[in-house]
Amino acid sequence: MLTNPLDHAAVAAAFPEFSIDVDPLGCGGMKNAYRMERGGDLAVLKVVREPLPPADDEGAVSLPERIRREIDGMRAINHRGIVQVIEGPDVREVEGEDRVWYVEPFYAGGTLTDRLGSPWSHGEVLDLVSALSDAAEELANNRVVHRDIKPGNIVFDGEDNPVLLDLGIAYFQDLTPLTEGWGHSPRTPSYAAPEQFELRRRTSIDFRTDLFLIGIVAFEALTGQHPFNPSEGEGYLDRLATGAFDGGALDGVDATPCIRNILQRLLAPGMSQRFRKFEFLRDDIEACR
Amino acid sequence: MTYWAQHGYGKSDKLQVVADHGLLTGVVLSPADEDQASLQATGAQLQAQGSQILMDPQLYVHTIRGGVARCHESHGLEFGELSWFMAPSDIEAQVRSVREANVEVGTPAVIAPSPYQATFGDVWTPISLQYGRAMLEETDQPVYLSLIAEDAAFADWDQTQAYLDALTTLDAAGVYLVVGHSGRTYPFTWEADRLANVLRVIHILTEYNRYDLVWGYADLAGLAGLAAGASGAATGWYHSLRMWSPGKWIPQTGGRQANPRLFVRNLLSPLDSAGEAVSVARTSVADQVFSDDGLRDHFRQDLAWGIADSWIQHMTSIAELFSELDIDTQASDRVATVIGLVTEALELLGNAEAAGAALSPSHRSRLESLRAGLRLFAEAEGL
Repeated sequence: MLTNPLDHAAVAAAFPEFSIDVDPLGCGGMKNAYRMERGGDLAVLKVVREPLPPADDEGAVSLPERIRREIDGMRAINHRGIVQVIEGPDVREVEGEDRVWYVEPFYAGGTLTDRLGSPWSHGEVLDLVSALSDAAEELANNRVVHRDIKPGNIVFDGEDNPVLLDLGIAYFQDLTPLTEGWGHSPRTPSYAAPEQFELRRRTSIDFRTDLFLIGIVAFEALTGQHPFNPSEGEGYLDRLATGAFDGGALDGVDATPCIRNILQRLLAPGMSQRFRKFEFLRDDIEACR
Repeated sequence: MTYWAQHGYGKSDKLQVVADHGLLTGVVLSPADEDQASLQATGAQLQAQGSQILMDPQLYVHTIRGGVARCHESHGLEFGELSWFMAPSDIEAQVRSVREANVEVGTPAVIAPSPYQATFGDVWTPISLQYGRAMLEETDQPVYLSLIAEDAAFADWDQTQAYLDALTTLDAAGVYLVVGHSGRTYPFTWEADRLANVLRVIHILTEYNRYDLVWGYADLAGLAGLAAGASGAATGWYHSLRMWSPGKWIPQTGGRQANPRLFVRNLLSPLDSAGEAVSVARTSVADQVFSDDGLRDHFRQDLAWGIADSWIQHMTSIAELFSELDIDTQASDRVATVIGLVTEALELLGNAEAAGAALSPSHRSRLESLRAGLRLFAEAEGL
């Protein structure tokens, strides 16, 4: 059940200058996404469902902190593998209340979700890992951890390069965390690293968390299956955190020792057992080709 | 080339003799045991002969109650009162003094100082990481992070792994590992599970995180460390240079000198020279035990074996043993090789005992523990 659901027709009516498809592309935890036309190009309108609080005495409105960080992050990082903001953020009245909106590019290649199911070739998997880790490295260079790399947040541009969407729960390492120390790290449960299930004060999050998530989607691309079988809920956390992922998970899968090694390293339960530097991962990818 | 000598008091010509065998990769210098001028000369001589040098800053001595590091003052290593709530400026000053001491001695890389950690959750743990971080900021030279911890710290794998997760955020060239033992009796018998976790730490730091790793005071266990991925392992002439214990740093009075020992390669054991070595040399399996006929006959005749003989023989034997392991092979192959060596030694030990040699049961238990540790490590890391 979505919080603060929006009437899609009301959204389209609130943005008459955009030709909006009222059938949303998606409705996430905080925002709705609509395909729209902007100057002849397709784009994506994102509308934050939660209304803005009333303006203060001086008439200023403040964006919800997580949204502000997400947008600042997208603006600060210019990388072809990471989604950009092309217009906004701004505020518009939708259904009688002020709501934040902004525009992102529309990526014609669809999401990774659309492309999963049948196994990918080794080369395609390596290309995917390489491109996603390049994007994660750029985020890391800006002291940002995406924390929500999953098939639905990976789209493909016109040249078929993967692009990471949605910094909505990203961790900005130089900013005060928005979750309490006694809380858990924000996550999508079936696309989360073991440390995201730990109490935040007892663990740390860094780019190696993103490497784990890249490992999950790479495994899915290679095999068509999730490596830890979240649909079988019982014991999922144990499988995730106790290192149940091993070579056995790849039994019967056409995977070279080289690719197995990369997947095992990405999916290692301990952060120190993953790649300490992106260049180490690149070396291993090159060695696999 | 994997053998490092652990330098200590009274080096005399020992390092030179081992270097002459062509088996000395490097030396971990001890500023507690030689003043600056002398250590400078030692370092220069070793480097001129092609050996690497590192200097253990030994800050940990000052976290041991009653610990004394005799010559630190001459190196400008004034660590003063250490506490777990030290100011960052104090840490920076200490790190600077370590860098300057290294500059004086002429080391090409710097080992960061660290307190001695009883567990990976004690008050010194965060500080130990801060020393590493401060040293990385202090110098452009390659930095070896210090991991100085009691063997009991490795009993808790979850805590160990949490520490590794933090340590591996530091972009250093290498790690200098010292594992302390609360007892002082040499030779030391590892608890297999702790050894296995030490080997996991070595493997994770080297094979996964690509740190260079030198295991100080490792002695025979260094062979397992090399199999796990260490690039070097050290031992020295005294027993206290072959196993690290806090007691080493507390001045003692009295006590008798340890019996000279003979390291027997085929048994992977340091036998007591007066009793055990003579006993085994007179059995029917002596030819299998001693690969050196001269040594066999020496002990068969119960000839004199002085402490200086035993020091040199131990270091050169360990160095030869380490050099036999091909570190360019896969870790799984190296581990299998070492397990094979230990298994052969155990069999030979059994044959010697059956042939009437009077040997301490500690040799068997030590080798069994070593093998069990290797097996546990291999299983845990999927090798």
